[in-house]
Amino acid sequence: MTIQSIVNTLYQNYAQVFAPAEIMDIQRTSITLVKKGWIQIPADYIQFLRLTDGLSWNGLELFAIKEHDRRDSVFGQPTLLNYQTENSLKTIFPKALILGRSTEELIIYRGDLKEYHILDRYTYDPVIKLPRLTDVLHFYGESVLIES
Amino acid sequence: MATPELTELNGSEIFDNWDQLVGENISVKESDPSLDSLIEGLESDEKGQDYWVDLFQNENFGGMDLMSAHYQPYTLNEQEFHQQMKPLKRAFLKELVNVYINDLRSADLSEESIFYLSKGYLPTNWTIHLKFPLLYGGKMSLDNLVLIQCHPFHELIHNYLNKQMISSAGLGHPKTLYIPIPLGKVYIPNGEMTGSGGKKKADRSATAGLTTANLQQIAIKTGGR
Repeated sequence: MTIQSIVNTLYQNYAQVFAPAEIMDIQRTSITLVKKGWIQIPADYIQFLRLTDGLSWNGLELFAIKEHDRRDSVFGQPTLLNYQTENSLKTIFPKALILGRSTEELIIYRGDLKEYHILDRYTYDPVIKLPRLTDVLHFYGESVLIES
Repeated sequence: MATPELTELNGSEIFDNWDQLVGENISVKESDPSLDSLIEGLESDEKGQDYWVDLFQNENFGGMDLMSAHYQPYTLNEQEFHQQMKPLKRAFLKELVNVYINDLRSADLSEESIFYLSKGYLPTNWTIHLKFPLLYGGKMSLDNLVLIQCHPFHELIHNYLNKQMISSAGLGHPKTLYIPIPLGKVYIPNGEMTGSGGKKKADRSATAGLTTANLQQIAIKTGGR
């Protein structure tokens, strides 16, 4: 399945999606991340951001480039950049980017290994290591993606 | 805000009914003993209890209690944790909708959010939190779970814990961890549990001071009226 078909399926199962991120905004964030000592946004995550700037589904949150105004709520989903600043794991993973979170788990991209890791939030050991973003989406959305 | 109570306890002591709740399907494994070496020399152990109590009081934990628990040298394998969390999460959401509906409404969850819960989905900005981490005596049981808002409260708890676990030297697990504990099955900031109305709240004066569990018992005794 492609990222687009997975996002479509999740959307049909109550996922909250957003307008696509602008390529200029993605580039700007990527440059800022590198300047501040993190790594570039992985290519398939950029592809995802071009479909929806962030996603929220059944406790899974994938971070966005821009803050989203929410008429119905007092909170804002953190942006990719804000989350790195507020939750720096640089001392443990110097070449990584936190891309999302789920129930007691963090989703990171390890630039040094070119892999997505889903980490236990208490031990910071990987629950699973996955090569692509589609695998991460499958990992969380298994129940609805298999049905489709 | 009420003065937080610091309770010295071993996490496992409060989960006496663990075996009864989860049966034999969930096991706890011996961990890598090398983890123990990570504990030595961690800054958080050197800072002491007063430091962590002050920090807790200075942040807006909205009525949570602060408890301490001791590191226990075993852990559940992360993959197993994820696999076992799935059915537990489903059972927990089912329990919330069936038994704790008053608490969901007191926590200002919209009817739309409650609908998502009834379908087995977590609504946006809500997550399930393990009150006591497994490494500190917590169990994979329904009693150890709470529904909580990601922002700000779940992040606040984990940022507080990270300050104890991550130092300039890297990751470690202190001998004693100070843990903010959200009360109840659904975290309601500042403990507005089945209260007696208030601004933008339905008048629940008839049930003031009663927990959902109390109300359930009354309903059973009175034939559900």
